[in-house]
Amino acid sequence: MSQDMMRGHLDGLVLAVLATGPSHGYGLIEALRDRSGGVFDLPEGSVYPALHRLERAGLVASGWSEVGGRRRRVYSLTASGRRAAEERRSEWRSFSAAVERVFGGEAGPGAGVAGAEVAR
Amino acid sequence: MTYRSVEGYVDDLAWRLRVGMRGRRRIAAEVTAHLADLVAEEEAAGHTPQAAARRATARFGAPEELAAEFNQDCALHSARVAAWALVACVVAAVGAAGLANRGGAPVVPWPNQAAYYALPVLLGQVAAMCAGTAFLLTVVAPWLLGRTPQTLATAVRAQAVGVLALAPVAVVAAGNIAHAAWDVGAMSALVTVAVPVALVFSVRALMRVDTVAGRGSTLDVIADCCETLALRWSWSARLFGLVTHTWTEAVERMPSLMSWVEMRRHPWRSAVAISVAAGVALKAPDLLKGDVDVPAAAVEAAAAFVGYCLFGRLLGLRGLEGRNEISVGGEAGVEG
Repeated sequence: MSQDMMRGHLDGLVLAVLATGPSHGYGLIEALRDRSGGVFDLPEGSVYPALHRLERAGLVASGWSEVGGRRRRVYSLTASGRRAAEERRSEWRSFSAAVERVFGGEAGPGAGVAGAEVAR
Repeated sequence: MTYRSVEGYVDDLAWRLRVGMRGRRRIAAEVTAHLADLVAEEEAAGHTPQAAARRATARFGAPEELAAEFNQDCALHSARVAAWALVACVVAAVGAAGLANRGGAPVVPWPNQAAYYALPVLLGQVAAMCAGTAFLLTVVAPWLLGRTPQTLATAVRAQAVGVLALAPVAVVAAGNIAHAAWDVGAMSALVTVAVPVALVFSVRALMRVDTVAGRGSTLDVIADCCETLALRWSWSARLFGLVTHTWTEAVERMPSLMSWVEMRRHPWRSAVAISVAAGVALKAPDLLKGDVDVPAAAVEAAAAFVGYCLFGRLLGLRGLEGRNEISVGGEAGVEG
């Protein structure tokens, strides 16, 4: 998947990962990579502008804490963040189902006629 | 560019950030912690400390791209805060002027009657135009379109002019707090405090937005917003289609008449038409009462036209892309 395509969905993906529990940036990018089977392999820093943007929008809250002996900023979803994650999930499902129907659907009778016209 | 140490990378990133001292410190601390994890991971994979640092910083991404993304988000946020502050100032200034006109003004206003009553009316209108443009470009358009318009620089310039226009109003308001009625005094105090605060926000936005300044027309943003809003409901989409079709037909059939209302292709002619309309509209209440005050309407129209001449380009209402518009109805070219 191209990085531009990935960037367009980054905020939604970050919300989806945080919906499973609080995480710091390093853990978040690892989770993205693992859950996508290695397909989402973005520059690791790109997750931070998204996190800051979501925090400014009130969808994510953060605070410093000691994790594994290191001081890290841990992010978690707020109540409106949980709602936003759910909304984006359902939006994505209906969108991807529609794309799948267009890309993977069988050609209808109209398409066949149009194809024949073009061939002629 | 490769970095031999995490510190070198973080310094380079921090130097490029335009997000304020606190934001810069926070980002630097987060990035350092993340890079420490990456270095530990690379060292565990058998790389030397220097190679691990090189690989970790390469995995993290180019600092210029990362900084640009942070800067853009921060610029929009600053411009948005400044726009809200300016809108609040305009509302307070108009409120204070309105209350003063209803009878709460000091008996002997400072510095004199003319300045006390004329400044809020004249400069308040300039500030209101600037505040409206800035609010549209930084709050309404990003919310409706789901993206930052290319006109952020226009928005912050408008904010700066709006706040500067309100500065004399704030000075006059400060000089009259003590002698006015309590409600006018309270509103004047609010204006006195709010305008300097808005000025600080505006300067902050100006300092942050220069990194993402882009060319763009406010008219394009208005058109995009109208289209997005119209396509939200089926009835509005049909109405939008009907209006667009009618407009195109009218331009084709009556090009000279329509040139008086086409802001993109004929900015000066449309400015004259809009100024006359503004003059009539502003005096409409008097007209309804049967008090036809032609000189007052003419002064309003002239003021609107002068305002367009002075601030049209600043507010993104003329110039820029307008020159390259495609000809419609066989009539090419655009007024300067």
